Amino acid sequence: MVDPIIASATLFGGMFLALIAGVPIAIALGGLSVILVLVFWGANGMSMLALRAFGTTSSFEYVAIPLFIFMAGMLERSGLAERLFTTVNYLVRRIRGGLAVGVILICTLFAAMAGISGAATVAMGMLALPAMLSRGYSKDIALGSLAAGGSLGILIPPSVTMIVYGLISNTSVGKLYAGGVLPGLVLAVMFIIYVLLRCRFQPGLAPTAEDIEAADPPTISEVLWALLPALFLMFAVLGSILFGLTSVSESAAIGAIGSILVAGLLGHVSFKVLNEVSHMTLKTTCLIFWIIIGASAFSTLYTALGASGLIRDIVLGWELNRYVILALMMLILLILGMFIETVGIIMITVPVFLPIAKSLGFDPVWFGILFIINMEIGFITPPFGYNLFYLKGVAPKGVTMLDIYKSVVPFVGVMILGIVLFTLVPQIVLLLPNALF
Amino acid sequence: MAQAVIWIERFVNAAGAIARGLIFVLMGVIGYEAIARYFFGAPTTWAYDLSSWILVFYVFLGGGYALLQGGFVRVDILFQTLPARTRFWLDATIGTLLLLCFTGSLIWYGGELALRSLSLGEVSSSGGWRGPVWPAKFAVPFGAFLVLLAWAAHLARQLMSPEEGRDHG
Repeated sequence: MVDPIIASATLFGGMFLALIAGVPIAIALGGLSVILVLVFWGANGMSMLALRAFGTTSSFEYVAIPLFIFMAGMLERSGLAERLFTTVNYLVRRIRGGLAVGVILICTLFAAMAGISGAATVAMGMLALPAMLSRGYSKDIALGSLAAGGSLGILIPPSVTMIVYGLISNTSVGKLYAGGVLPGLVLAVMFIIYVLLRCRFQPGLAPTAEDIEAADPPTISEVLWALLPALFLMFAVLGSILFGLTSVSESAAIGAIGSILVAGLLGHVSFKVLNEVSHMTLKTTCLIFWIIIGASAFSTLYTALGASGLIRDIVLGWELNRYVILALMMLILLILGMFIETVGIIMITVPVFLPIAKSLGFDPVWFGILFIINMEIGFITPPFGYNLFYLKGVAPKGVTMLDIYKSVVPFVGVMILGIVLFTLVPQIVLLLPNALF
Repeated sequence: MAQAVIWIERFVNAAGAIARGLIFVLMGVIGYEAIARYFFGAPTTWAYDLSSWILVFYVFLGGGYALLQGGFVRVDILFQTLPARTRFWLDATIGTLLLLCFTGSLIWYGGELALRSLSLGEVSSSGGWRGPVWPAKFAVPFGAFLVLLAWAAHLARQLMSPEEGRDHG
């Protein structure tokens, strides 16, 4: 029997060195697990990686991932954002900071259709960012609301991150989906309150109606053309999953097909668009799956060597208040989120954290949602945050990376406040999963 | 060498192009199954397995492609600030060592599993349609081989013109 302490030290030490040396995450995890299997188990255990690689990629539940990514890519280019923007734009025109509120609202709607966080940020960034900046919105409010609003995509179902988390942690994806709905809406409301308060006390940050030329009210048909396709897709994806009509993968396929139909209806489907979306889908899917493949042997090895049990016993041995341990875990996730890709964090930390959370008597679905919110924060915390890169990619000249970094800080604060709120009132998370399942 | 790199990239990208098309096949298979089941009450025996196996091909045929397109993310807080030469040497040593272990294990043991599946005539255990499993099992070693090729091309490009390799891998 190998000493779990030596095993853990080798495991995490090797991983830290490889990642710092800039080795791609998937390759670092995969290569290290092969070496460690060889060292600790010898040649007999060597076929484990290949077995797990096939086992993971051939599971039907994972089929939902590329389909949801495709759907999000299609939505981003479907022209739906433009239509929603025109309508919402009119509704919020009298409010100081109204456009930023509108951005958060549309991002929330998008989050209920798209399972990744980039779609809303890119689609709305191209549209709303020039509009806001030219009307005198400060970069702070404009960029921050886009980055934070977009990150809701992984908390409000459907969510690719939740699928990965659910399968790795053996938590029901349906329950996680149900658990993400209310916290997602609460966070959206908190973002909006923050924007409104900030604009009220610092009126220079955003203009009001007097500063903007009068907008024409949208016609009924314009409103319908914006809302109906959105509602149709939301129902296709969520209605089916939450009410148990289809499996997650089936509703993902229905959503993907539906997104092509909607984009076609709005006149935005062409060979070029399908080509772009299929490229993005393959690249993003492979990014996620190769990390899962590389890490799958890693987590098996890790659990089998007794390392995860050891760490759990050590942590429980401290006999701290369970909320202190929870806060520690959240802090670690927050820090990892600044540097490492979401799926990588899930693969590395879930085998360690989940047994601890369970021993402390926390509900796994509730813990999962807090975990996901931390991943959401990871999407917008520098230096490594996808939404920041996406935003930089679509931002007009004159917006620097530093502008973007600064803009997200207060929103991260709001999200941490959200985590505290959901810890104090766990019913916000658990109400729907308990009612539906 | 430049010519060899171009051919390798073409080969890897061709596999990627096939994978890109598979997403539409996936939608078709699951969409067909959904319609057959919900509207005609006649579920297929094969859609469940077939869509899972398409995912295997999707991920493994696409792996090398994704690597060439910069889809293998790194923790680049430190890496990005290093000079191109140093980045090349890190990739060429520690990165290559880990990659060889990773892909080597998938190629060798994945190949063994695939050959065994072929010789045993392993068929699907669900749905009763007895579809052969071995094609999807061969996708694993083949995909790992594509990643290996893509990594070699990535290193060669960095060696030829260091700055160009910036966005790779």
